[in-house]
Amino acid sequence: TCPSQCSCEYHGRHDGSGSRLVLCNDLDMNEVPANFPVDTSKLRIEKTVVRRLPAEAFYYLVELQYLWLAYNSVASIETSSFYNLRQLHELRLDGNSLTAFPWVSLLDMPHLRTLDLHNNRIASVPNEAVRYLRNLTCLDLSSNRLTTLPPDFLDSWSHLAVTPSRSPDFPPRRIILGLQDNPWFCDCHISKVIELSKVTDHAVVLLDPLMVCSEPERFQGILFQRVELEKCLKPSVMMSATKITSALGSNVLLRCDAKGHPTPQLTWTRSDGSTVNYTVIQESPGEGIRWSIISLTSISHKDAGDYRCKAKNLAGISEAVVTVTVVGGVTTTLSPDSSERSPGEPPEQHPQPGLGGSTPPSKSWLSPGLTSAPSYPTPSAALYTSTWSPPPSSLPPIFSAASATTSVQTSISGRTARTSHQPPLLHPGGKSNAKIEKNGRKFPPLSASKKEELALLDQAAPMETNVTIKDLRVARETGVSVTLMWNSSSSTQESSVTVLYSKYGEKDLLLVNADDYGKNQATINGLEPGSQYVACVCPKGVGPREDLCITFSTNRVEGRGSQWSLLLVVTSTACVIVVPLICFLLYKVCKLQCTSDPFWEEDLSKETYIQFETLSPRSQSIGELWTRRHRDDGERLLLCSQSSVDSQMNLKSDGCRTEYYG
Amino acid sequence: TEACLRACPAACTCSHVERGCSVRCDRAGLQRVPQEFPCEAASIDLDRNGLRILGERAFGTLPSLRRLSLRHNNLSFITPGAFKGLPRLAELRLAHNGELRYLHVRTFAALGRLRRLDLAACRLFSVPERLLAELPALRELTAFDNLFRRVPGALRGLANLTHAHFERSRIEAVASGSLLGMRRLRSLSLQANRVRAVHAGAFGDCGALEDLLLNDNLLATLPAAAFRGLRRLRTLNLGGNALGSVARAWFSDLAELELLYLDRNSITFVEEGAFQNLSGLLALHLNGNRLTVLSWAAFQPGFFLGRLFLFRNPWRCDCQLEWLRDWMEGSGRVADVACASPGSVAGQDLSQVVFERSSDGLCVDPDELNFTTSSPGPSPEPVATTVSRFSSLLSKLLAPRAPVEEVANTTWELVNVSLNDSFRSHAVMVFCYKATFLFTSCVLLSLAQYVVVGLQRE
Repeated sequence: TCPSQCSCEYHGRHDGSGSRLVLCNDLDMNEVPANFPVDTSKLRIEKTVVRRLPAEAFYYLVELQYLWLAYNSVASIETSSFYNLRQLHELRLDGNSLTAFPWVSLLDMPHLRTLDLHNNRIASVPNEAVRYLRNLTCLDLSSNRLTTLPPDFLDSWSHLAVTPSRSPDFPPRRIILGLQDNPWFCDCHISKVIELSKVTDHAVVLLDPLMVCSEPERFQGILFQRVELEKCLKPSVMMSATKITSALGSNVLLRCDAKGHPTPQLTWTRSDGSTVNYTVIQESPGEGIRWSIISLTSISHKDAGDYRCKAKNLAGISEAVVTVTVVGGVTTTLSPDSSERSPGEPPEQHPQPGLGGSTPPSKSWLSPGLTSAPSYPTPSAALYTSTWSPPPSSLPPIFSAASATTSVQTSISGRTARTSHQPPLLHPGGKSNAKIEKNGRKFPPLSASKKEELALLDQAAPMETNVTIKDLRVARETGVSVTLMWNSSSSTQESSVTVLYSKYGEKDLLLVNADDYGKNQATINGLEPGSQYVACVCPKGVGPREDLCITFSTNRVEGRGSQWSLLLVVTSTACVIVVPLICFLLYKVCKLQCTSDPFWEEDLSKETYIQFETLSPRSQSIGELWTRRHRDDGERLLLCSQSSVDSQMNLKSDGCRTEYYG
Repeated sequence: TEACLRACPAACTCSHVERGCSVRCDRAGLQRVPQEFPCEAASIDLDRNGLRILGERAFGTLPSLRRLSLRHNNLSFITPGAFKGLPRLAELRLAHNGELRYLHVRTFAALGRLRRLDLAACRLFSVPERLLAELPALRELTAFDNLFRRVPGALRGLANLTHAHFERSRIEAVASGSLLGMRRLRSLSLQANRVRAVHAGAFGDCGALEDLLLNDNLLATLPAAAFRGLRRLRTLNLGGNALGSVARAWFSDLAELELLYLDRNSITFVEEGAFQNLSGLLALHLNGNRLTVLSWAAFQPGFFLGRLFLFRNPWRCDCQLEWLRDWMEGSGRVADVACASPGSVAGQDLSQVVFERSSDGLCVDPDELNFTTSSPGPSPEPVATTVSRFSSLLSKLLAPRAPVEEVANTTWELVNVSLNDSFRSHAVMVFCYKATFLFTSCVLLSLAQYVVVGLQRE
């Protein structure tokens, strides 16, 4: 039998074998017919108005080898449309209206070699498609609407490149790819395809190597062969230190710089594969460059080990390792790297100015880790490390002595470095130029605007100023305002300084209203409670400098916390006093009961019973609940989750404690 | 040859091909039939014009004309005798004349040699009983995409008709008298109609029928004798109907049957011996039904060696299907029997199910799980079904805790996230203190109450 709008031919051969060809090219056919001859080996449905291929449309054609569905109006294909086509070699769907192809259906066609999707409306090939393409030897995606391809697209056939042709009889296996006539966006995503179009004699051959970029504008209309993309650079991660030895309890910053094109992504992992739980700050100061810092606060022995910084982009992966060793005791060891740091080198972690002298507000011990977010883009650079000591307030006295020494040292180096020193968050890229010259390495040139900005800053920062500001500190802080104080060595008026502040982590600096200035002090209003801010005091006409900045956090949580701890103290004191009292009273009651006469005892027990009942008036209903529990699973689940809340609570409080003491 | 080209109508192209003079006037915008055609014309194509009416002897006398095509016109009336003067016409195509709707009983008079008639998509709803009676040579009638609602009575008695195509024509029943006298009918397609009923003995005269396509209709059941007498039937397609079970009697006469389609029905049950006489079956399609079990007895006593399509059924892979698993292994002609139950093997393919043996060698059903609905995921190794049952039971019981552990982990991370998040962890801390405080005060209160009682007692 043959479907009424089709013609079915049988081509017999002399040896008795043969093949059934079915051709349906009726212009009026609007759905895939049922009842094709089951021995059909080649089915052509062409130039019809068939719009969809239903699920399992051909499952009974177990001998089908060629399925040509060219020049119809097929717009949708089900995932299971090609179910059971185990013998299929060729699937041609050219000239349809497909916007997507169910790539997973290639699993139903293990023998498929040719997939022709030429002249459709396919706009993208999803990432997961790549894993199904392996067995194809011809894939034609030409004349579609593709702008890019998945990064691993060409890797589908990487096995072909490594397999040498075993014998001269078999020509080396090749995959033929039709990708021409698509609106390609020529960037690193398709850099491998672009490279492919420039070479010949490859395991992957392009059907038509004359492919043209449509975007970006500068490549519009340009042949792939002539496109010189900005280097699609595999990321490189460099480091100046591979080992850091630090004292127990000190704070350590690990910095990882990577460059590559496109801008790489950075991830930190521990040697055991776990992720790093510490603060990770990342920034990409420019195209192709990214740095990342983890700050390990108050390191303990469990923080020792390898820290791996992995950079990944479309072009590849690279990584660097730094080993952190934690030594016991209280001496602070500066890493060799930071001790020999030159003035041009960015940011050793400065302790708060005046750390050794006037103690910063007790809660601001958190802030060194935050001020330490240097955004120096120093592309060459490396894994910076710096060690600084925690504040004296949270450490035993002997330690604070040691840390005081350290802070003196660093502040000295800070002075010497002052001329070229830029505070971190404010001038990204500030040191790039110097760095480049100094190291004599090649880096992607900074954009013009960046350069201008730098120049301006350089001019704005005079070598000397007659105003010296020291001892910047937070005098008073509330939820929404904070008062800063400093000592000024100059005799000029207070208006000769500017106070700038920003929310921590943001780059935009806000100017404090002049009204709020006092003599050597300024009040910043309108802050958000419970947030962290960076404030800088700068002499007029001078850019903010790192050593004149302070990080503080506005009150809220701390205040609440102390309130609560007060309550705790009160309650525990109450406990301490009340519990022995209760015990004593209980003892009395017992004694009374033991010594009293039977009648009295009976009465007592009755009363006690009543009392207990009033104490737990719901005992009966609880009993009910428990009996119901056995009847009803849902009820049981409820109870389960209830108990789970409890356990969650326990863990949480554990965690709190860790943080509190950590 | 010369004559063919010389007398060619203005709007047409004429060519002399192997089979004679071919006149092509398709897509020529013709509103009426050209006055004259070459006398030698063997084939005239007038497709896709604007012809509205065919008058008497519309084509004059064309003694050689064998093929006339008038598809995709606006024909609304064909005058009786329009085709007079075409004595050798063998193929007449009138498809896609949506305004036609009705044909006069004498429309096809004097076409004694007509073999193929195409009336598809003419929105015909009723045709005279004797419309085709004067077409003794008619072999193929194509009439799909019309509005018949019943099998046209004009078919009755067409003893030479071999192929009849009535797809998508809203036919609702095949009555016992519908196909009387169609002794040479080999192929009848009634697919995609609205057939709800096939009367017993409806195909009684169609002993030559080889292909019967009743797929995609509304059949919920069939009389026992529905296909009686179809001893030459090779293809029977009953797919896409609403059949709930397969009766033993249906296919008993179909000894030559090669392809039986019962896919996309609602079949839950196949009677024993339903396929017993189908020894020549090449493929049996039972996919897309509601089968949980298929008894080996359905095929007995014969041996079924063809392909068996069983996918998309909610199979219950217990010992009743053991034969099928063995047969899958042995023949390799069945695949995709996905188990929906029992719980311990749900989601697996039958070919992977291992049936355990009891001590006396009897097959042991795979275990049922109480919670199958909530975990349709892949079950553990079938060999250790008992163990797996226990373990999954355990995992069930433990399940509600799993998310809690996650929460706990995140909390832990939260705490470790460090400086930036320290405020959040402070908040958590406060919350913890709150809880502790409340708890403590509760204890204190109750104690105090007790103390008060004690004091009262004193």
